[in-house]
Amino acid sequence: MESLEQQWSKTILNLNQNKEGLEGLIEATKAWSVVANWLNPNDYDINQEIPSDVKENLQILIQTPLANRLVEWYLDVVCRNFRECFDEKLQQWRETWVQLQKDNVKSPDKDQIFENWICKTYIDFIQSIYSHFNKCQHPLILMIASDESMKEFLIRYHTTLYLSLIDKSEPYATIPSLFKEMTKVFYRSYFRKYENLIKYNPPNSSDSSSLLLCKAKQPDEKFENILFAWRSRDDINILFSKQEDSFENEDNSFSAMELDDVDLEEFDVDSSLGDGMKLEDLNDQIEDFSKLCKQMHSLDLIKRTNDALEELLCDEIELRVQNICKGTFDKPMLRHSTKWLYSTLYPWLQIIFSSDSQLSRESIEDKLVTWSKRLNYHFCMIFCDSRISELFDVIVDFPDSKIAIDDLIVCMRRLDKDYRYRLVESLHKAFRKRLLIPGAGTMDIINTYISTIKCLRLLDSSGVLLEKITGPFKNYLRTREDAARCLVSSWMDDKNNNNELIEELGRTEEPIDNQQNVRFNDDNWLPDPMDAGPDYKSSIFRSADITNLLVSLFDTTDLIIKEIQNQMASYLLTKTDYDTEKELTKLELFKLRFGESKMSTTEVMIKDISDSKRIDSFIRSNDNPLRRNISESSSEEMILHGTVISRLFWPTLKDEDFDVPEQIGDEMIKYDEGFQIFKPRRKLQWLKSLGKVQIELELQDRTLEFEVAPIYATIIHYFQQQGKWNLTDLAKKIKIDPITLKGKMNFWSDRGILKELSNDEWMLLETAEEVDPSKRVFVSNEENCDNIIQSLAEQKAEEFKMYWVYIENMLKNLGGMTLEKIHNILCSVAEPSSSNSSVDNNLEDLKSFLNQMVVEDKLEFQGGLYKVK
Amino acid sequence: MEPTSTHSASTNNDNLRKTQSNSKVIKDSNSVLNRLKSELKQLMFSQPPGISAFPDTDNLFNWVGSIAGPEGTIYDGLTYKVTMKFPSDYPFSAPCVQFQTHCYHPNVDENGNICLDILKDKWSAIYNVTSILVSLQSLLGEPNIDSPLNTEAAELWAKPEVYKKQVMKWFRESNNKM
Repeated sequence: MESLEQQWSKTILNLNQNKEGLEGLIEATKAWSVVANWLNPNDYDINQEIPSDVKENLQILIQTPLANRLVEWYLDVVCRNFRECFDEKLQQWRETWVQLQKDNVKSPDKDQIFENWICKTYIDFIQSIYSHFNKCQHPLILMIASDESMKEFLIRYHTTLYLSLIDKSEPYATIPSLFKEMTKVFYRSYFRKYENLIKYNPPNSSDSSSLLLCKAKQPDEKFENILFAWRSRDDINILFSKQEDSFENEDNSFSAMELDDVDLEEFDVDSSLGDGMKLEDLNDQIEDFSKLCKQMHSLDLIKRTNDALEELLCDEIELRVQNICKGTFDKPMLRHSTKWLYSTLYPWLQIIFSSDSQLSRESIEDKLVTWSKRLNYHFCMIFCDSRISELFDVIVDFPDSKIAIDDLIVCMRRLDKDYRYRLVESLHKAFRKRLLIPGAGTMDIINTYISTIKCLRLLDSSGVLLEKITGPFKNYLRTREDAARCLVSSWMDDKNNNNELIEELGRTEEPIDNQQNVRFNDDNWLPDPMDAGPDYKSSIFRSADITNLLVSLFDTTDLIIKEIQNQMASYLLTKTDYDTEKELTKLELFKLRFGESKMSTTEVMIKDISDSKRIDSFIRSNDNPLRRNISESSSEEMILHGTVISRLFWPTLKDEDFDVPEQIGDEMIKYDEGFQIFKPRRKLQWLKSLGKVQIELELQDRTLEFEVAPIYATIIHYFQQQGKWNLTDLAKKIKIDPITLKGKMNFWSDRGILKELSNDEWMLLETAEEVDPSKRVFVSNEENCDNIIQSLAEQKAEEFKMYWVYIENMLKNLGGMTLEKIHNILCSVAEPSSSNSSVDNNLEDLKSFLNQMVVEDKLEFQGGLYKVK
Repeated sequence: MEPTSTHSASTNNDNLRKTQSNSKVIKDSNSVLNRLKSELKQLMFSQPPGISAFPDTDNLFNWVGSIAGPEGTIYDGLTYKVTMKFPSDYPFSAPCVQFQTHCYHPNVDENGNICLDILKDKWSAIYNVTSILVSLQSLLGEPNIDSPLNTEAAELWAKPEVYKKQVMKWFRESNNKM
């Protein structure tokens, strides 16, 4: 005001020097008072015509230097007036909001109540402010104010408005940006409405957004382009331009696709259409919204609430990923969501931006490009996070979830490398929590590992991720004793037709042992990736060979080869037809994998069987001189077939010695004699408990056929002569332990052929007894084919027994020692019993063995030292 | 033939010979280790009564062992500790065997050195750890009084009661020391 007074005095001084000026001054003063009176914002009405006297006076004033002063004065008046008009209203508004929140804390649909209230009052508010703004702006135009003063007016008005909106005064300062919160709710409400509008009334092809859809259903490459390479304005021109002609052809397919996706949309949370809203209403509302946006633009509110807008959009994207993408792995959710981004989110954003009349079309597009870039990135991040967090499920569902992996690949390409580690970490966690636990079956773990290999191979061809994931599997499977058995048995299993492992086994690239050789003349050699770990072996992790990767889980192939021998042995021993074709095929596959030399033992085993065929047919044929005599004397057919195996090459077989019935024993002797002729100086040692006997039981009321182990046949053989046996007598006859025998007897009683009377008296049931079905025992065939091969664990124990002598002597002579020391000394001192000694590399096994000895009271363990008792 | 070429050929030969001898040494020490390992294995699985031995720590050239006195002799019920040190040209020279427990015996001196023909001049490569230990065990019951290291013991040998007292005294003393 002081400056104004000074100005006045200056003007008066000037005027004093000039008489004409004095008159002008009086005139100007008069005009000022008239105009100022008219300019009172409270009474001002835009619609009223400007009174003629005011007009005249305004004309006078504009010509004087007082014009600028007038504008300045007016701006002050407007600001003061704004506060007068709205401060109280705003105060009330806030109070109501707080009250509303208090009242509805527990109300189930409080969100809806807030939303309704906010939308209503927000719109009212914007409109009333806008009309005030217009009212205030109008006189300026009449005053023919300069551009600068117009600009200043805008700045001052906007600042005043914004400052009063984000009131920092107590008690509202405690509520974090109340206005921002409200703006968000307001935006959200209209975004949802728009979403619904698009959903239930997809814009026809003449609308801009449908172009995006047409674009989005291009092959993957293009679709990625839309999502990520959308950087220049040219792109968006294509996307938002109104030239739809070229796309019309695709209309049909587009609507078909839309139908395809409807089921997905049903998950959507919002359902305002269900509340009786009509499409026309929605359309109207969106139009209102567009108008409102225009007003907000004039009030500069859009720019100032950018943060709220962005937060809202990010929230919406997150919500969408959470609600729709999560858990769906068999549909291209990424493309689906991109479509949503471009058909709903960006067009909606376009409504907001394009309502700004100040901006040119180009700058609107620029703005949209920036926004969409940012939001696309955010979407990628959210999507990636979501997929990574559920990657375990994706892997379990593989290959049904391949689409999800593809989506993830696209996203990962867009994001930082950091996400690779996040992926590894999250997967580690999931594995530890959900897979590598005692509850999971070993086969399941192996299968999941295979899926993991396949998935990660897709995600990262260099195999670095895979290498990082392999560690926990390796460590965990080491604790699973049956890991090698499971792996090998699935290789051996032919019954399962869609056995992946067998397929993979056939896909050999190179023998496992060659992997360490660096081929210096390899032109395609690539250095290991930057983020590769120390265990990374490029050849194994880069090549897609699943079998090699599986085998590499085990420290040595020895364990697997041993297991192959064992399982092969049991397969071969169950054969009665000497047909080894299948096994030979397997052998060839194994040879390619593990090398000829390692499989030689197995080869001998298979050859034994085919040799046995020859031997057997010779012994039974008439070329056998002994046989010739027999066939002359009697027409008796030999009932015994033999399999001759070379003891040294076979795994230790379990043999329970017992006496076979005399008749069979005679056959065995005859067979032996025949063999002597075929191969002199060799001796047959019968493994009586192995083998199979086909028997037919003719009882009074029934005839039954069985294929059983020799011991069972022997038992039932004796009941042929005598219907009742005492257990001990029978055990003496067969020459086995009565307790063992009792277990074997149960085999027949389970099948309703023998019955225990009492006191170890057993009776043959000539006529079947009615068995209470509830008491019927589940008869398993397991017993029939007991595991004939010593398991690896048993073999290991056997091996340690050998070391026991060493350990005992060591501790006796050298005193108490720690586990590590025992191990060290054993390694350097003992002569390994076989090529693959388990002592050499297995501290854990030694520990468990020593602890076993402690339990058996042969050792004592004190203060970390083992001592002899 | 030109002399120069002959010369170079001869140096080549020398080099060759050197490497051969080098490799022989390595091979030898390996073969000693292998021999000791197999002797250990033999001892482990034959388990002669009253005898045991084992390499001291992971060095196969130093062993510790124990010998129990043969039944029916003065030494019955006593167990003596011995150490065996194998030379690098074992089995072409005899190992150095010493009693760790003080053994009052005509053929054993105060420091545990043993006077036994097969460990000295009559050593032969056919002997092994087991045979040495078995010989020592029998030496306990049947000392060679004609060439004593411990003359006092040799003199007392004829008087079993006095002799036994001495044996027990020394045995206890050295066990206490240990």
